[in-house]
Amino acid sequence: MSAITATRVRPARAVAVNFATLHWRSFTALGVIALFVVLWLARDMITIYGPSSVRPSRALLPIGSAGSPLGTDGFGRDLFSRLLAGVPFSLLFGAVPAFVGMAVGAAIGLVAGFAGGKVDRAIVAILDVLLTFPFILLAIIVSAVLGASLQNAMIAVTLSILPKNARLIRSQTLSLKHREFITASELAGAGPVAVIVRHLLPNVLPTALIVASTDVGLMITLTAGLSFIGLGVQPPDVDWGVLVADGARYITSAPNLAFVPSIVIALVSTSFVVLADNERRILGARQ
Amino acid sequence: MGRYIASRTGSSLLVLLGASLILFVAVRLVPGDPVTTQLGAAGIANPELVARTIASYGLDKPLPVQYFAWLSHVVTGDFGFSLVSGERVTDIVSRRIGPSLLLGGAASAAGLGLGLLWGIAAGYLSGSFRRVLRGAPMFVLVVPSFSVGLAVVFLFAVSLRLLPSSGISSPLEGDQQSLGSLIAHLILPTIALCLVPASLVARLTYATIDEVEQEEYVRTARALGIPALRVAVQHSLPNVLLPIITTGGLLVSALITNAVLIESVFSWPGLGTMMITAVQQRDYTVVQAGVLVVAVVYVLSSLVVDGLYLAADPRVRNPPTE
Repeated sequence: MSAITATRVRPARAVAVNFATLHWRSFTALGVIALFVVLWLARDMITIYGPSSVRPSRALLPIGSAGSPLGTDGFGRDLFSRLLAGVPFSLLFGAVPAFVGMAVGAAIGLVAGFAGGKVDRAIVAILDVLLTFPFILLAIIVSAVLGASLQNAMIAVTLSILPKNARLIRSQTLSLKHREFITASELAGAGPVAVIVRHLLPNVLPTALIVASTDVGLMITLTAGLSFIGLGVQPPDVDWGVLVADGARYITSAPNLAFVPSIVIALVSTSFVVLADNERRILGARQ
Repeated sequence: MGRYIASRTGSSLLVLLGASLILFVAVRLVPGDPVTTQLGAAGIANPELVARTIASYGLDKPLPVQYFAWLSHVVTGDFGFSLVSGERVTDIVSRRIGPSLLLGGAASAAGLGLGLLWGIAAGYLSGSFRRVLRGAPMFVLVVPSFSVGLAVVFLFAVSLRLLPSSGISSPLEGDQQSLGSLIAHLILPTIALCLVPASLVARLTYATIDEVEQEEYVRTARALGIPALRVAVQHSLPNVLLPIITTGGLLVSALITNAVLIESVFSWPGLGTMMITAVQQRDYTVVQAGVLVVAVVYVLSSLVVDGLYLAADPRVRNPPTE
């Protein structure tokens, strides 16, 4: 089937239209994420007041005020520039655990799946126990011992998604292990490392990337929760979870302070999930 | 069946032992040893006092011995004293555990009920309703639960002034709290907390309904002219229970994580707020006790869920003999 499509010459325009209809959701999602990155890069040009400039005379301005389009907090700090100051923290806080968690999880999964036997059973037994352990307890232990900070929160979050990723990649590896191309390369004398790196890894990579992208979205929400209870980003740095926590104090007088960052978290988080979901569907259809 | 129960109980015990070991070692890793912290200036001038204190706490013994000594106390419910208030940790925890279990129980019940209704509606309704109901669970999972909490506070407590916005009782009530006031305080946190488990249950429910609707026995029932409602209740829905039970551990875990956030939003006097305050004050004994108690609750509810699994699925109860 694929051989036939490959030999048929398709007009470039039809290919482009097809590509656009397949991927428009992904591009919209990427656009939303890119918008925040661009706004952050241009933050000095588009904001008048810096994220930490305290001006009591400008305290609790409503949405749409001159110079502070999203209003100001109780110290007169501009919500829009604080929101932009949170962009790198919130994105990294989502992306680093998701991708590190996937890289380490994939390594464990590949080894367990490929090795099989006792090694596999031991690894799976440990993973199963850790699989649903409440992540917040992990975060509390890590923060209590190492102190509350961005790095420590990231360690806890990364640990919490490892078991899930390892199990997923292990099951993928199991289904690939007995395919002809693996057997062929083993017969051709390839060692286990070569088989894993050159043949298994490229085949699990698309799934790994898609799952990691979904995780970025979910992790942004999860880590915002850690910042919300004071276990994540520490002052003077801000991420969107810190902004919601700060805004919660003004819920009666200035609800915008809590709800604008909440909406931003949901929007960016949804974007990553939609991006991953759409690409997964396309990949699934192709296979 | 016996083997299944034994293996599940065994792995639960292992989780708890692992958690206790990690907690013990973690607190040992904290910079600054407990004795100098406790004795303060008196210890610097008096090495003999330091040595005596170390011996009285058993800190001169090897670590494994210390661990088992600590564990034997913990098993009897003795977690030592709070490093901040000096109060017995057991007293603090027992004051906090009731409100947490109350909120957790209410949210589980509400989440399960709402999730089932939601999933059934998403499974059987058609048109735009169906699309909204199927899209909503993913949305609930990306919207932070603490934001949902703040939203219900804003709507029901600030704007409509219907319900109290925080705490478990009104300041004036003291010890004699009426049941009505307790329920009033419980409603908003329960709403905020039940949405996450509800959306997880809803997704499982409609996915299972989709799957079962394709099965031959459902199509046969249809073809025989059995009314749609009866097909749903008798043939499709019993299958929904199983995936919900098998993901029970995940549900409990999601509930615990979000409960900590929601307790913080509503200043609910439970274990979550206790642990957060303890972390901020570096009150390690209270953190240790809080984490262990929540881990025990988690493990016990997972075991109950496994028990339900046995009850619901005859294939697990009576495995086919080979």
